[in-house]
Amino acid sequence: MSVKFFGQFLLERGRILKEELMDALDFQKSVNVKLGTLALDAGYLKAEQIEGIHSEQQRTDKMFGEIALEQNLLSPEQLEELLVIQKNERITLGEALVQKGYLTLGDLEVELTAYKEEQKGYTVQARQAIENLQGGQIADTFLDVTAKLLLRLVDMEVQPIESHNDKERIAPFMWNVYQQFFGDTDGTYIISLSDEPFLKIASQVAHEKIWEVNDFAKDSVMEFANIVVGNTASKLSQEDIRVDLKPSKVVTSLGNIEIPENADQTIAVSLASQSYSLQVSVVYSPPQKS
Amino acid sequence: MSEGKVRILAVDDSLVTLKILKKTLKDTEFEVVGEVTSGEEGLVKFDELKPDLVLLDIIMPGMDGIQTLENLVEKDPNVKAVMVSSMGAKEKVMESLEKGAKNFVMKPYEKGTLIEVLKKVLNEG
Repeated sequence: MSVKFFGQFLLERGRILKEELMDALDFQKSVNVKLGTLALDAGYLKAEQIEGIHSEQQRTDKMFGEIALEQNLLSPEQLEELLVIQKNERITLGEALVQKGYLTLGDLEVELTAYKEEQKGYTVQARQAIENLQGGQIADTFLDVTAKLLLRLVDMEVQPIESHNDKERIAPFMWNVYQQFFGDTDGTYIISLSDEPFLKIASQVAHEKIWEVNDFAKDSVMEFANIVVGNTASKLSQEDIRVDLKPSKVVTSLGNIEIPENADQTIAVSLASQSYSLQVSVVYSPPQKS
Repeated sequence: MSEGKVRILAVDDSLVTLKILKKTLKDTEFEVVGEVTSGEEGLVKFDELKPDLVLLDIIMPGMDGIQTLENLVEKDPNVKAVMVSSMGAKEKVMESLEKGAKNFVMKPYEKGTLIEVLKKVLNEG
């Protein structure tokens, strides 16, 4: 199981054709309206004010409506009115597929139930492992997916031991597997670990016992990082945060980890299972929102 | 090589992934007849092997999976390419499909899901 969007799920199950998915997404896009556009339509805001709010969003990581209220550009009543309109005009992909005649309502219900069941996939323990952390949406998503995939692919159930925000302490162990991402947020995801958990992950991912940290073991742990980061990107895309990825790498010192210059936020979490400990860090820039 | 099997070219920069793929498809109607770790090599092998299906990872050093796909479609507009990647962001899935991929399977995948998708793509004509 992986973190996928509903359209991908339907496609894999053969419930819709790729042309139908593309058509429904186009249709959905055409009827989903941004708050700024609605405010413009209603005559509450001018384009220049909307652009100003967008710039502020990039700087502060706040919601559009929140900034409009703070700057007294919209009254609470106006915002409420726009949100109601936006909610009513927003349709889900499922609704778009039904409206376009690619799924019946009955099919949609069945598929949504199956989708939710598959995507649930997190155990209570994995959820507990990350639920009290205060890392912001980006870091939370990375940590959530890491905990889930450690359990699912490595059979390693982890709990957080401590967390910190020190960029200089993201590589406490011998092996550091990292992967860069860029787009609405730029940053680097790092798993730092010693030989034992490294070989445990390598063996579990490769489905065979690996005894030493050789190139094959490194390839295996890099693939684990790649799956974590790729699945995280999928999940973030559902929140309209778009990131692209570079390939993962393994290095043995902090100085060799590539981190984008604008990535100024760090969250590092030490995780421990019954037998192993490791640290997962995310160094990233505040997300730009559309 | 077994007679009558569906011949697959796999392009993925991870040797582990290629090994798992071969294990996954063992004893099925599919056979990995070529495996390469870069898009550039994939294009060469495609000409050489003329496979029935091509499986493409997306995130690879050098030419990525989507660029490789574009090149493959240029060589053969009817190429049956399936993306097999952990990078399932909505935009990447859609970009792949728009550029000619027949389907998209996300890692980690279940064996049954992969085989069903491959069968479906094969039977789409």
